[in-house]
This record gives sequence, C-alpha cells and structure tokens, in this order.
Amino acid sequence: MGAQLIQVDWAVVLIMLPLSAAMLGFLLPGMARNIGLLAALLILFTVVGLGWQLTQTGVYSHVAGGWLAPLGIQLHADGFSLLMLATSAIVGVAVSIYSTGYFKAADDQRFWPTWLLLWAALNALFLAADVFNLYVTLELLGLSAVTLASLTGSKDSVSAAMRYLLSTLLGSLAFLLGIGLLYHQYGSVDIAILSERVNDSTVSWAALGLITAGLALKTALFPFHFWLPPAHASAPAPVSALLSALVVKASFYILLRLWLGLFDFQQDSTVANMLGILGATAVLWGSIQALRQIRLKMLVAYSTVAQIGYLFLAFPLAQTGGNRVWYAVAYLMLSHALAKAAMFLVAGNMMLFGGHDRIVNLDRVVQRLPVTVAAFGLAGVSIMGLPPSGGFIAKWLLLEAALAQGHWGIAGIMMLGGILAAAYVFKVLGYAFIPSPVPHQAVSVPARMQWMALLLATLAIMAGFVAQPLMQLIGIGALFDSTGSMP
Amino acid sequence: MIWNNWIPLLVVLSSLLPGLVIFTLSEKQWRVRTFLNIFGAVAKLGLVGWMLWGVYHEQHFETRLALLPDLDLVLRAGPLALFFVSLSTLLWLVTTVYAIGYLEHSPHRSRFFGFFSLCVTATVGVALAGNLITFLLFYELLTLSTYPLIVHRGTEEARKAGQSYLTYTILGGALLLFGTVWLYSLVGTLEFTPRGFLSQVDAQHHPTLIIIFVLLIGGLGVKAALIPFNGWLPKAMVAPAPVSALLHAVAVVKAGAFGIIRVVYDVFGIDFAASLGVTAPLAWLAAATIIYGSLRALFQDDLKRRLAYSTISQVSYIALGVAIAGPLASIGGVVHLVHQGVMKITLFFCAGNLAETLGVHKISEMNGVGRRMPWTMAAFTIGAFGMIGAPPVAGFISKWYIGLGALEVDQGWVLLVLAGSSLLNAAYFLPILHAAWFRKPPEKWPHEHDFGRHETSLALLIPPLITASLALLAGVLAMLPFSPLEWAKLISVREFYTP
Amino acid sequence: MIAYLPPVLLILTVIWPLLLAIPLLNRYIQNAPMLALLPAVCLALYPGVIDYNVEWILLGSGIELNGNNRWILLVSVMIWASSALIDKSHGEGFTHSSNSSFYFLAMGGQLAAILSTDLIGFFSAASLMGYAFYGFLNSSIEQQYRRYWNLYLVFLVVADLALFEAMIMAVSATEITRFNVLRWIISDTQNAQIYVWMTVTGFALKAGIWPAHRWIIAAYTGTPLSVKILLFGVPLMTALFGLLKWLPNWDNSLSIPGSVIMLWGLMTAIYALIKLLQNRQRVLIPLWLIFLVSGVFLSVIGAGFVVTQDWSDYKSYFFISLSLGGFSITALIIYLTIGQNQQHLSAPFSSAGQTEDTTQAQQRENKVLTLLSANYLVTRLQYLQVAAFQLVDVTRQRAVNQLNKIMDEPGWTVAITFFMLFILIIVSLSL
Repeated sequence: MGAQLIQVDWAVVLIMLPLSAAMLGFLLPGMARNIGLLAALLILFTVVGLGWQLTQTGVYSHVAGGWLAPLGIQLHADGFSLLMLATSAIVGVAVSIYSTGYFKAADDQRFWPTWLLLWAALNALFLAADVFNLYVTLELLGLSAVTLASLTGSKDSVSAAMRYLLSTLLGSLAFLLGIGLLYHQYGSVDIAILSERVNDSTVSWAALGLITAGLALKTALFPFHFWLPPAHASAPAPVSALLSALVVKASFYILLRLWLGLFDFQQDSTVANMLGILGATAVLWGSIQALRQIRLKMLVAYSTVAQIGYLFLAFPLAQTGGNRVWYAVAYLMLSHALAKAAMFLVAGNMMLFGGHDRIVNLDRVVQRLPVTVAAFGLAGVSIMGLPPSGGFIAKWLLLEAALAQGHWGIAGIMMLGGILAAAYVFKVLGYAFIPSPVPHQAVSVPARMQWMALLLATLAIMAGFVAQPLMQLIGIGALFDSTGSMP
Repeated sequence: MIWNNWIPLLVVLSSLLPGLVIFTLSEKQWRVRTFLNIFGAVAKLGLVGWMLWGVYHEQHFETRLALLPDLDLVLRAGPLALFFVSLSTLLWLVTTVYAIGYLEHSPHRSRFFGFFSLCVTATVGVALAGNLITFLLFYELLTLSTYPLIVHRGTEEARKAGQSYLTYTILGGALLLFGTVWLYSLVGTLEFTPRGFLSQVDAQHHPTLIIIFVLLIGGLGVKAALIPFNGWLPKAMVAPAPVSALLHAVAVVKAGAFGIIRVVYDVFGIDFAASLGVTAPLAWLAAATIIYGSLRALFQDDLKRRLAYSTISQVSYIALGVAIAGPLASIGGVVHLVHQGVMKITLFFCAGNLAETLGVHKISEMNGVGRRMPWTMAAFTIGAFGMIGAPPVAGFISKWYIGLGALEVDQGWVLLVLAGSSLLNAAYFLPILHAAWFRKPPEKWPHEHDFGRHETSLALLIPPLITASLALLAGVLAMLPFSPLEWAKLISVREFYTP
Repeated sequence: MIAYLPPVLLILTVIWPLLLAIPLLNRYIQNAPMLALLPAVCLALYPGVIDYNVEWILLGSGIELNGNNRWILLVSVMIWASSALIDKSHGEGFTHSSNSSFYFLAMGGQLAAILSTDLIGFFSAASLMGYAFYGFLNSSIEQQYRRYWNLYLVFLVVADLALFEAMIMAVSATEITRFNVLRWIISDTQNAQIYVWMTVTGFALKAGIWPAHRWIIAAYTGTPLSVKILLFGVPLMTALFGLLKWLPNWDNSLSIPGSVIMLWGLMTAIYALIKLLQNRQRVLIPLWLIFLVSGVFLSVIGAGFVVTQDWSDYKSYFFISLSLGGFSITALIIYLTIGQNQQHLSAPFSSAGQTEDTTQAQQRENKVLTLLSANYLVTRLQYLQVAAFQLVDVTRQRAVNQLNKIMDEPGWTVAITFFMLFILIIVSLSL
C-alpha cells in the first residue's frame, strides 16, 4: 500500500484536481459550492501525500506527457514548493469553508470556478520547473485574481480591479521579456539547465533587471504597491485573504527561485542592496500608512505592503549571511500567509457584523464576536513578530543575520516595523473593547466563519513551535543550501 | 527520575490548559469555571511543592523542547526560578479566590479568568525559563495576556490605559529582543548559567556587552517600572482590583525585576558585570526610582494610584539590592521579590475591598473605615508597616539585608536612600492609617453594599488576611528553613557567588 | 518537664498579651488585662536567671530574664496592672472599647522589649509598642491635644529610622546583635561615633527629651488617669531602658558625644526645673518630674563617657534607679490625681478652648516669672509653634495642588528624573 502510494504522481493530481473541479463548477453552477469544498479537502489530502512522498524519496520530478524540456511540461517539487503548496492548501481550505458562509447562493457560481482556477494556477506555479511555465501560470494567476477582485461589481472594486489588471499585465510583460532574453541567449527555459548556462553577461543582467522589476511590481514592493491596497480592500473578504496570503507570495516565490537558481552569478550586487532598501522603505511606509487608516480592511492591506518589505530585506542579508536568511524568508511567507488570511477573514466578519469596517466604531465586538477578535489578536501577534509565533521565528532569524553581519540599519528597521505593527494591531484591538458612540445593528455571523479565522490565526501561532521539523521539510532539495550547510 | 523532566512543563500547563478551557465556557457555567481555576491553582501548588523539596535536595528538573534548530525552549527549576514560581503560584491561588468574590456579578468573567490564567502561565514561564529566548517568549506573552485584563472594563479610560501600557511594554520588549539577538549573534548561547556565561568573552567586545546590558536592562526596566519608563503603571490602575494586585505583586512588575536579576547574575555574572562598571549606574537608577516613586505617591489622593507609585518605589529595591553587587545585598534584593509581592498584594486586596464594599476610592474618603471594616484595615496596616520597613513585618528583612550589603561593599549612600524612602513611605502610609483608625466615619459611605454578618464577603476578606499573615510570618520566622530569607540565601550560595 | 517551664513562661509572657489583642478574644474574656499580665507576674517572681535563644525568630533573636531587667519588668507589670484597676474602678472603660487591641499590643510590645536580648528583637518590640501606644492613646486623648499627640507618631518614625541606621552600622561592623557582647565591641569600631549619635537621637525622641517633649505634655493633660499613668511607665521607661542597653561600654574615646548627651540631659532637667517653679497646679507636678527624671538620667549616662572611670560595675544601679523612678512617678501621679476633678486641669499652653479669665490670670502669673529669661524663650517658642502649625496647614494644601499640577506634565517628570539622577550620581561619587 505504502509503496503504491509513493508511486502516485501527487503533483499532477494537485494541478488537475482544482482544474477539473473548476470546469465542473462552470458546467454545474448549482453544485459549484459542494464541488469546490470537496476539491479543497482533496487538495489538502493530496498535499499531505506529496509531502510524505518527498520525505521518503527526496526531490520529485515529473515530465508530463513524456516530452522533455524545452518543449514539454516538466514538474519539479522540492521542500520550498511543498511549503508553498501546503500553505495554499491550508489557507485554501479555510477560505473555502469560510466562503460557504460569506457568499450567497447567487455569487457561488461566479466565485467557486474562478477560485478553483486560481488554485490550479497557484499549484502549477509552485510545481513548474521551467521559466516559460512559470510565465503561463503567473499570467493565469493574475487574470483569475483580477476576476475575483472585481467579483462584487461595485464601482470601487471595478476601478481597483482595473488598476490591478494593468499592473499585473505590465509585470507579466516585463517578466516575459526577461525570459525571452534568456531563452534567446541560452536556448533553454528549464531552470536547472539555465542555471548551469547563465553567466555574468549583459543579457543576463538585462534579464535580471526585467524579471526582478516585473515580479517586484506583481509582488507590490514599494513603490510599486499602489495597486495593492485598493484592490485588496475592495474585494470580498475571502478574496482579499487569498490575494494577500497567496497571490503576492506566488510572484515572490518565482523571484526567489530564479534569484537563487539563475542569478547567483552576481555577488555583492547593488541590485540586492537596492531591493533591500526598497524593502526597508516598504516596511516603514506600509506600517505608517496602516497606522493612519480609518478602515480595517485598508489597514490590513497596508500591513501586507509592510510585510512584503520584510521579504525583500533578506536580499542584502543573504549575500553574506548564508542560507539561514532564506529559511527565515520561507518561514515568513508561511506565517504571513496564515496570519494575513486570518486578518482579512476577521475583517470580513466585522464588516458583515456591523455593516462597516470603521475602526473607531467597532463597538464592543470583543464581547459580541469573541472568537473573531481572538483571531485578530493571535494573527496580530504573528504579524508583530512577537513570540510565540511563526512570525517571531522568522524575524528572529532575520534579525540574527542582520546583527551578525553588522547591518544595523536593517535591524533597526525591523525593530521599528515590529513596533509600528504592534501600534496598528492594538489600535484595532483597543477599539474592539469599548462601546462606540454610534451603536449599530448587529447581524449574526455564522460560527464557521469565525472559527476559520481563528483556525488560521492559531496555526500562525503554532508555527512558532514547529520550527525545527518544518525547516527540515523546507530543506528537502537543498534549494537554500547552495551557500552553506543545513542549519 | 524521568518524570522530573516533565514537571516544569506540567507546572506551566497547569494554568494554561484550564485557561484555554475557560475561554470556551459560557458565563453561566460558573461552577465549572471555579472548579477549573481552583483545581489548576492547587495542582500547580502541589507540583511546585514537590519541586521545592527536590531542588532543596539537589535534584534537577528540566524540560527541553526544540524551538529553533539550535535554540531550545528550556524550562528549568533552579532555586531562583522556584523562588519566583512559588510566589506566583501561591498568590495566584489566593488571587483567584479573591477574584471570584470580586467579580461575582460582573460580566465577561470567562474572558477575564481565561486571560488571568494565561497571565499566570506567562509569569510561571518567565520564572522557569532556562535561557534568554524562553524568557523573552514568556515575557512577551505576559505583555499580551495582561492587555485584555487592563482594558477589561471597556471604557475609554481603560482603552487609553491599555494603549499606554502597550506603548511602553512593546518598546521595552523590542529593546529586550534586540539585546537578546545581539547577544546571541555575539556569543552563540543564551543559556542561563550560575555566575554568568559572559566572563570569557574577548575584551574587545566589552563595549558591545555594555550596550547589550543597557538594552536588556532598558527592556526589562519598562516592566520593572524604573524611571523614566514607569508612566504606564499608575494609568493601568483602571483595571479591576485583582488584576492590579496580580500586576503589582506577581506578574508584570515582578517579571521585569526578576529579569533584571537573571540578566545580572545568570547572564553577565555579578562579578563580570561589576567589572564592566554597569552595576553602579543601575544602582543609581534604582535609587532614584525609589525616591521618585515615593515622592509621587505622597501627592496622590486616589488610593490605588498611591499604591501604584509605591510599587514603583518598592520594586526598585530589588534592582538596588541586585546592583549593589554584594552577597548580602543580593539576598536582600532577591528576598524582596517575595516580600514585596506578599505585602503589596495585601494592600491591593484591601483597596479592592474598600471600593467594592463601601465605594471608597480616595484616601480623603477613608475616614473611619477602620471602624467599619476592622479586619480589612488590620491587614492593610500590616502591609503598610511592611512597606515602611518596620519590624517584624517582612519588609524589614529586605531593607536590613540591602543596608547591610551596601555597607559590606562600602556603599554607604544606599543607607541614606533607604532612610529617605522609609521616611517617605511613612509619610504616605501613616496618614492613611491614621484616617482609617482614628477619624470619625462619615454618615454615609459612597456606595455601601451589605454583605450580611461579616464586614464584607468572605471571599474578599480571607485572601488579604492570608497574605497579611504571610507577610508577618515571613518576617517573624525569617530563620526557619524554607522561609523566603533562607531560600534567598540558598540562591545566593548556589547561583550568585562562588562559594 | 521542669526544664521546659521557664522558657515556656518567657515565651508566654510575650505571646499571651499579643494573642489577647485579637478583638474576638479580649471582648469576651472578663478581666482580660489582668489575665494578660499573669505570665509576666509569674516570670517576674521566678527565682533565678533564664536565657532562651529563639533562633528562628526574626534574624535569630532571644529572650532572657536577669537581674537587670527583672526590676523593669516588675515595675512595668505593676503599672499596667494599676492602670487596668483604675480603669475598671473609674469606669473609663478603655479595656473593653474598640481600641483595646492597641492596649494589648502595646503591653506585649513592652514586655517583649524588656525581655529581649538583642538589637533587632528590641527594635521590633519597641516599635510595635510605640505605634500601638500611639493608637491606644489617640482614642482617649481630648480633641484639642490630639495635634500635639500626633507629633509622637512623627518622632516614632524618625526615631526608628535613626535606630535602624544605628543597628545596621553596628551589625555591619561587628556582625553581632546580642547586647551583652555588643556593648564591649562597638566602642572599638570605626562607626562607633555614628552609632552613638543615632542611638541617642532615636531614644531621646522616643523618650520625649526636651525639645521633643510637647507630646508628653499633651498626653499628660489630655487623658484620663488610667492612661496618664502609663505615660512614663510605657514609652519613656522603655526608651530609657533601651538607651542603657544599646549604648556601648563607657569609654573615653566617645567623650565628645558623651558630653553632648550630658549637656542635653541637663538642658532637659533645667527646663523641667523652670516648669516646676512656674507650676501652680498640683496635678502637673509629676509631668515636670518626668522631664526631670529623664533629663537627669540622660545626663548621668552622658557623664559616664566624659568622666573616665570604670562605671560598668555600677551598671545594674542604673536599671534599679530607672525602675524606681518609674515606680515613684507613677505612684505620685496616682496620689495627686485621685480625687481631683478632671475639669480643673488646665492646659499648660495658651491654646483655644480656655476662658478669657484663665488666660489673663495665667498671663499675670507668667509676668512674674518672665524674669527668668529662659521662660520667656520657652513661651516664645510655644507661640511660634502654634503659628507654624497654621502656616503649615495652609501652605501644605497649596503646595500639594501646585506640585501635582506640575508633576503631571510629562516634561517635568523627565526633567526631575534626570535632575534627581544627577544629584544622586554626584552625591554617591563624592561619597
């Protein structure tokens, strides 16, 4: 039994399952919700299978249809892919269950197929082994994300979605140009092959610039973050959770993979430092903006801008800091995805509950929605980077690297970012305790919506206790260990 | 004994698990809630008693779980750790009983007791932490779990107090984190070691170590209410009385003071710290805080605020005793950890009783309360005399050892500080006692509740009487084995100074 | 069994009155004050010396009965007993009123102080006695004297501080707290001078030596007889007894503080003499005698340091004379006061509450005696004192308001913080 299970191509299932479910959803709108839920649970199960497979046999590679690269579709799964797949699966399941309470039956047929399509694109992206497939999945992801963002059809959301669409297209275009250059120069799109061939040349540098810029735009790195807050804030809550937790991570995932696989020719480069500076600015700017917001969803969205900044802080640190930094980044991606998804779900609950999300008028939600507020608090702990939480582990590692190398600026920015994060999280929590001058009519919030938010937040906290086994899992395939040994 | 390795964890879990279950209970299930609370507290007390016996006979209790690839979550019950754990466990039990009585008819009790348990969990974790990162973890958990207790009343004032509390403590936590990470990147270990682990560090890093010391003490000083980081403490008085009691006697303020002891003795090592020249400024700072707190207390009319400033002053005795850097003074500082806790919790219980029974919040309303509530005020009197340092109450023992220790290392100025502080303490406590016992009671109390036969409900009355007796016994029976003083001496021999 | 009896008696003497301080007990027991004194009486009549170390009490304390403190104990028991008797026969009724707890606490404190063998034990017991006695008297003293009586509380605090410093000096230099050894060692130490100063200041305040004497006058004039007779027997006698026990061996290396002490005692005695000359009321004679006795006592102790001679052989006479003084003064008070109408007692100072006539009469009387310039000084000081109290009342209220306002501004807090730090650093550096 075990031997047979290990033979299963879990990775293929991971792509085909949401894709076919999406098709079914299109065809049978009435059943869309049930199909989606079933698919979500199956995906979670499949990821567990893939994880088990990876721990048993190491890195997984699969050539779809028997064609080899550059023509065929090649799948590749290592520890990092697994981490991202697992993150998507967990967040995906939670958001799916949440959505059954959030969307009315009429919205179901629009939401579920698109969401499953997005999930398929995500999984394919995390499993892709060549740059062209990365592009295709990225494009697919961007389009389905835009569709989801405009789901409500309100004026705000449509204009935000248009902005989102333009920037995502622009980013894809730059990315496409970059990989075009690479293919032209080195004659391959396979990452493994390219990584052997790419050398320090003008074309490489141009590709590096294009790809990095394109992906930075899609990841909403400061100052390319302009599209993110309106898009994330005006989308329906489950969609915001998906966009913030998973979609922006996908483009960063590509950037990281290419940076490590292809662009390791550049040592001590100014590009890395520049990314670091932009990241630092993002941390500060995002946090300050978050603090200034009067609406909860905008606050959470700006918080995403800040948290993405942390991811980029790793680039200057990694030049000499070695592998630990990338582990920290992977860990941060995981814990931020969980915590931020939880936060958006909380925002959705509060919006549903009071009909608005003005922070000062939260009106004792702590007594009326205790589970929801608890979720916000726990997610906030991880976002602030306070122990015990996944966010703490990640920031501890980053901070340690920064101090060990004498990067005082980065260390200072990280501390400052944490303090600002605490300020905006507790701004919300403080108002959650007190009565509002304008009491509002409360609408009851389904229990499953509350508990899903709490589940995600709790997982973000629990991530603080399983660092060691998780890092062993991430270490499968030794993507991060090119510069050093396993920590 | 393989079981010994799990007892520290069990001690932490014995309040964590009841706390988590309590969150899920509804308001009406008060029987279950009370049972869980008391059960957890008693179980913890039993485990701690077992460990006390074991540690006295040189057994080892250590739980070690992997946190990061090369950093462990360590819970270790050494003499110093147990000292603090015993204090918090004992007072938690007493405070729980008190809180059940105090909040009898108020809303949101499940939330309150849930966070209450979390708060104690964090305190016990802080006490048992075997390395700096474990300490940090529980220290931050403490910050977070206290916040909902401070804003519990849900008023705008409470929110502002909570905001102020967080502003201070989060900044403090950031300093502490910064110092910890820096220390780790410098020496690669954070394990608390008797007599410190830094004395072998290369001399060229000594300036860095000084900065790290400042960062760590700065971070801890926020909670320990050293000047100028103590603005949050008086504001946090909006919290219900049991919270204030726990905050001042056991949890937050004490965690800071305990952290200072840890950093000075078990991270730097007192001799090394003294050779770096960092203990003298700490002693000055503590001395200034002692005087400052007492001066401010003098001018407060609100009883709880006066007690809050008194805490600022009293907790700095611990830092002072530690920073004088002599064996006797260290005994005085460490033993004050327990003595101050027992005395201050008594005072807060009594203040709570006055507020709950008579609606008395201000000192100017306290005329003649001694006639109306003699037992409460008797407990208050013992606590107040302890704060002044009058024998035979426990506070005297602490002052005695700090003073002796200061003379031992030729720091005569400390005596002046002690005398000044005692004088000020007398100046702000004796008028209260005078008013309470000797002035005429008013015709009508602000908000009087009738509790039947006794002056107030028994759940409110017995806890302060217990703690007041403890304060008295800790002073009178200071030389008995397992008394706080004897245990502090044991700590000094085993952990602080080379015998 | 017999061997255990004496220590049990010792402990019981101290513990029993303290137990009776619990209101539940003393309220329902008939003749509680007499009952409380029972072990003490037995002890005082016990033939032979008892010394019992109680290592687990405080920082290792002990209690003893020897030839010296037996006299004091005896007199003290008599005074407490007669106070209780008078109280019962006159129906003044403090022993069953709400402040009876203070009464028993003070009694236990005094007995413990008399029997204690070491600094810390004595200190604890004496301060327990002091505060309890303050509380006890506070409820029986007449309203207009209460303000002066409050001075006693202030003196107690300051005295305890001084004694605390003295103790800590002694112990840090000698590591000894037991009186019988300490007396011989302390003279040779560096801090002996400070020790003596602190001890004398502390006990002088507690014993109401001039000029810290106002509270005795207030307590004497403002209380009923049963309380009045406790005045010398309890706080004063204990303080003078403590002084004898605490002061180091007479040694001419301490002649400077010795001569000051002598002078101080003489001043008090002279003050008492002047007052005696001025005195027109029989009942007030014991009051001035109290000052005379304590002044003479103090000056004799001081003389011991100045006149180089081995006085230690005569030590026990000090204790005997102290107890004799206590006994005779108390007896005199009872003799002079019984039968007198309390209403005829007039205050020795011209405060409110007196009729126009008596003030004028007293002024006339005073005029005769103003020939003595010292008396003039004394009355001037009294006026100043009254004026000062009023001034203090008004300014304190203003100052409190102002200070609170200023201190609540955040900038000030920081500024003051740093300023205080600065001072502390400078002071400690210069030390």
